[in-house]
Amino acid sequence: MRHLYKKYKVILILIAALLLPVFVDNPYALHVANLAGIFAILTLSLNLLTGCTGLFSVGHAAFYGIGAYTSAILTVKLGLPIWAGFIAAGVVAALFGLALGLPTLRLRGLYLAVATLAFGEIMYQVFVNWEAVTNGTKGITGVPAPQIGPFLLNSYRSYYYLILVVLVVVVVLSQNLIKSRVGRALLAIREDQMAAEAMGVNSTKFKVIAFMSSAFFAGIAGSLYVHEVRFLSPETFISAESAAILAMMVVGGIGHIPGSILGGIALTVIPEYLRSFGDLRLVLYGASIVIIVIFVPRGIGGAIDFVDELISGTRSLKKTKQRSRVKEV
Amino acid sequence: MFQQQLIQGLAIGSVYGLIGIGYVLIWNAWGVLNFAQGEIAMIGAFSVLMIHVWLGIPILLAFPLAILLSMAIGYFIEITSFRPLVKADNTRKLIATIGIGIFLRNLYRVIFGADPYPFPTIFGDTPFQVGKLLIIPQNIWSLAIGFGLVVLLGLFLKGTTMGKSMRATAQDREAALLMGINVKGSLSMTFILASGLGAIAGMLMAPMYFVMADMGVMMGPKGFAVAVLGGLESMTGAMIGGIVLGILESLGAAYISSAYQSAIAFFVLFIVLVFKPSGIMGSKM
Repeated sequence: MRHLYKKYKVILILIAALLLPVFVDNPYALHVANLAGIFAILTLSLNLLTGCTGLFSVGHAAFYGIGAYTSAILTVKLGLPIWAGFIAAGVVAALFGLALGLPTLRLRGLYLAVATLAFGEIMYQVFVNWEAVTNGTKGITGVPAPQIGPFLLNSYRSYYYLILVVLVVVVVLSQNLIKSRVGRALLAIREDQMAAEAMGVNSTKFKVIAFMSSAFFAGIAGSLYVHEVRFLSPETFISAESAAILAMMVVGGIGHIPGSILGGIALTVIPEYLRSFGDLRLVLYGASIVIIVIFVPRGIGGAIDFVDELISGTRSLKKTKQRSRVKEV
Repeated sequence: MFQQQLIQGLAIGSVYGLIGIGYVLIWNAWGVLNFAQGEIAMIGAFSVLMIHVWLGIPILLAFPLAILLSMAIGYFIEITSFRPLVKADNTRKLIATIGIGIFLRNLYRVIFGADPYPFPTIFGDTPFQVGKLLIIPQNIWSLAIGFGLVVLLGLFLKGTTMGKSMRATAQDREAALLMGINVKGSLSMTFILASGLGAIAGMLMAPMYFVMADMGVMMGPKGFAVAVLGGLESMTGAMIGGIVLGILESLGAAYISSAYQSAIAFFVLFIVLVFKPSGIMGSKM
């Protein structure tokens, strides 16, 4: 039983995710599910930077926005195919990641946080004011839906599967990255940069790698977002959005992959679920973040580990403790 | 023109500095950045709006009343969401403050609506002339109140028993406890004081802009930025950081582009950090 659980849990979760749109008929609910998937990707991307490498970013919405604008501008204004926009979104965001990562290598902790905050504010102002390219506050309308061969993914249901595929790819890639030599180097930098350098870890190189891969995934998430809602407005990328992504990561459990996914999903779904409360919903949303942080110390990830280890019978508290450790910010 | 912009920048900068000092006070005592500090400023502005404009209470009475009200709300935030997290790690505390910020911002939006309210000038906005300069009284008052508070705060922290126990708590919580200092009280006092300062910043800001539920979103990050620019541990540093940001903003708006006003300011901030990674007054990495 335990053996079976261990072997098939991932497959079970995937099947559940695949079947979800079959049982959900409400297009609005599917739209929320799509947004939840996009935010899960975004949270995973921040997790690579902050959770694994300990580089604290408060401007992550900027990369998300860069991806979204790149994709929208290439497909709407230049008429390029969507797949080109999709790849370009990731690549351009990664280049911005390089541009932000290189000069800020010396910054640590909160000083880096301010630099990322500054970056986020600057990018937001560029989105609003560079009207020739971004259409300013009017936003970009008529963003096309993607097409795979004969299938036009213009319904929320078909788009759901596209997001699911990307999410799985991002999970596999970041899992591999974390478990590889690069991931161990990132972890070493997070725990103690000086010790890591003494052990021969090239911290410059690996920090830049962390910045670029994180920005790449965030850009991809931005591209997915813009082709889902088919409309782009700069308001989506205000600095409060960066704080929201940060909250998703912490609520999910820092450095924890399944936790990050669930954190992204939870903080997207909760405010939508609270919609029946009208204007009060964001008030309750704020309160629920505080409550989760107070009462669930290690985030959703900690709860997942607890249940997971209980079922598979390998509860080793020491291991999980180490995982949730985070370098002081 | 140049001097005019300089005065404008100094006035706004001292307001940013006050918010930054709120961050510094709470950082020193609690070891956490209070991302709800911008919302506290918003509460301060709304408090004056309610008490002075809507209830018609004269400004000299309304000002202290509004500060007390904001302090009470600050104290409420502290016992409900900071107190339970005293022993938690910093990231969790930080996220809790983001949650409180979202909570307060939207609570006020529900109560007062999303529309901006005009705010009457308290100190008068008819400019008077000094030499070639046109000076708006409001700006002079902001500047005077900002710097006055820094001096007062310094005297309070260095001269009074309460202030000394707050500093002791900030330095080493356990040792302070062993010396018989009321650590809990000091922590609360720090929070209340920071809330009061934030509220004053909000009140000074209100006549320059409109009063609205979202004003904290604009002011919070700037306060955070100037606190870090000043080295995060020094109140003087935060004030200097505030002045620097204020001047950069108004010069940027006047000579380069008003649409990119805060982008220019943040860009310079970014450059400063790249070359001086621990802030203007910061000592350690």
